[in-house]
Amino acid sequence: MTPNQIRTVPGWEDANDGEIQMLLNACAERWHRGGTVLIDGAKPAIGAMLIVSGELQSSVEVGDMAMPVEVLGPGHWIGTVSALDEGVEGLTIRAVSEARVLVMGREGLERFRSQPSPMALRAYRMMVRSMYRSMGKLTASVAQVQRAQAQKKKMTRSEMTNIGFSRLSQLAQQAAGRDAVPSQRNVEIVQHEGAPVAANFRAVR
Amino acid sequence: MDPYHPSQGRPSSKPQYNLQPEANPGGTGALVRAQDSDFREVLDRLAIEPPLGDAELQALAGALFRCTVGANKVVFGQGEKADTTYFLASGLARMEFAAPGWPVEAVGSVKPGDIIGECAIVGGDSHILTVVAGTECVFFALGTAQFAELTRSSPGVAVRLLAVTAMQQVRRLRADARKVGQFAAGVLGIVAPAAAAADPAVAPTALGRLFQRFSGSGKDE
Repeated sequence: MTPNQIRTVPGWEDANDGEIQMLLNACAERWHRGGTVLIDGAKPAIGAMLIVSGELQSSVEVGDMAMPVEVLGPGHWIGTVSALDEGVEGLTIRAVSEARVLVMGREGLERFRSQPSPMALRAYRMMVRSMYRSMGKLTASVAQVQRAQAQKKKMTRSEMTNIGFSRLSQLAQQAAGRDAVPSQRNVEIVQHEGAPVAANFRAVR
Repeated sequence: MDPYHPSQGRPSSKPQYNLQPEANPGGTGALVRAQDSDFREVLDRLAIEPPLGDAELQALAGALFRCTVGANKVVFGQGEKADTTYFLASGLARMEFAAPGWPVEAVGSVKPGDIIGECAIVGGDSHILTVVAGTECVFFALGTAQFAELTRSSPGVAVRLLAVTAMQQVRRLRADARKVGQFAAGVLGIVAPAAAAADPAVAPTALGRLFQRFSGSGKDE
């Protein structure tokens, strides 16, 4: 990925060459096909990811139902929840179209916090902004769920769609490894450049 | 001109109608000093890492002003322009959300050490929630302009403030996702993945492993 490509990402238009090089040195580049799952909300993400291109959808997924939260595009950071604080991510992120991301591991984030630089400031600002936007969207879902819980009548599966849930297709469930037939793939990577960010991910070619 | 007056550095000319700068000379005033006990308490709760040095403490204290909000008064409203971030020093507040056509819903609480209105320091446009003081609250307020100056003069402090802000957001996001997930799991009759993985560091007990074996068999309507 070239510096000029990074400058097309919202929030990085005015970054200088030094900042961009620092970002590229700290990250690995990954491509994902449309329909694949970048982050499973029930598991930790492998790192924080900056969306460089493509469209993604975040949602809360349980079984075969999903509450869509937000459509994400270039400039947005994902995977920050588990990258900053060990544990599950919470939100599942799927690629709507082919997507390119830069992945930064926990060590990279820790380094930025202890060695402040203009790039670290920019990255943290954008992460906080991304999470703030996501919180706004998720809060709306929480409010709907709370209203549903306040009703005396027990909700049925079909009524879940009335408050924003949608049913996942079998293909979508397979992509998340959540269908009845266990999928052999956890993550489908089309291309990966850079150092591995996790020792335990499997690339399927 | 008082550089620490709430109106300074804020593009909005609308007065902060419910925020009263502390004006008790000799006591806890609007100006924040590094040695003020409530300031130190907030810092302890924020758990900034690495800890701030003396010069950094001075820089941060100098960027803040102390203000109070009476019980049941609005700190800021949903949709209002975001130009100030607040650190709660004492008291309790609640977060409210209003969807179009629906009544206001309480969606969370704010306790000492919490940061609210953080979009003001990261370029956000407007607040996504309303925050109302449950009891009388004392806040440390950080305006957009003051944070920009802090970024210029003490970038290390600015980065660490953003890092603790991010950590608080992480906990809220995860808790909110868990609420939605557990609701869905309850309706579907399955174990919510977020609930099952709430503490990954703790190995499941034998009973827990048995429970997990039998979980996942959803009930169809």
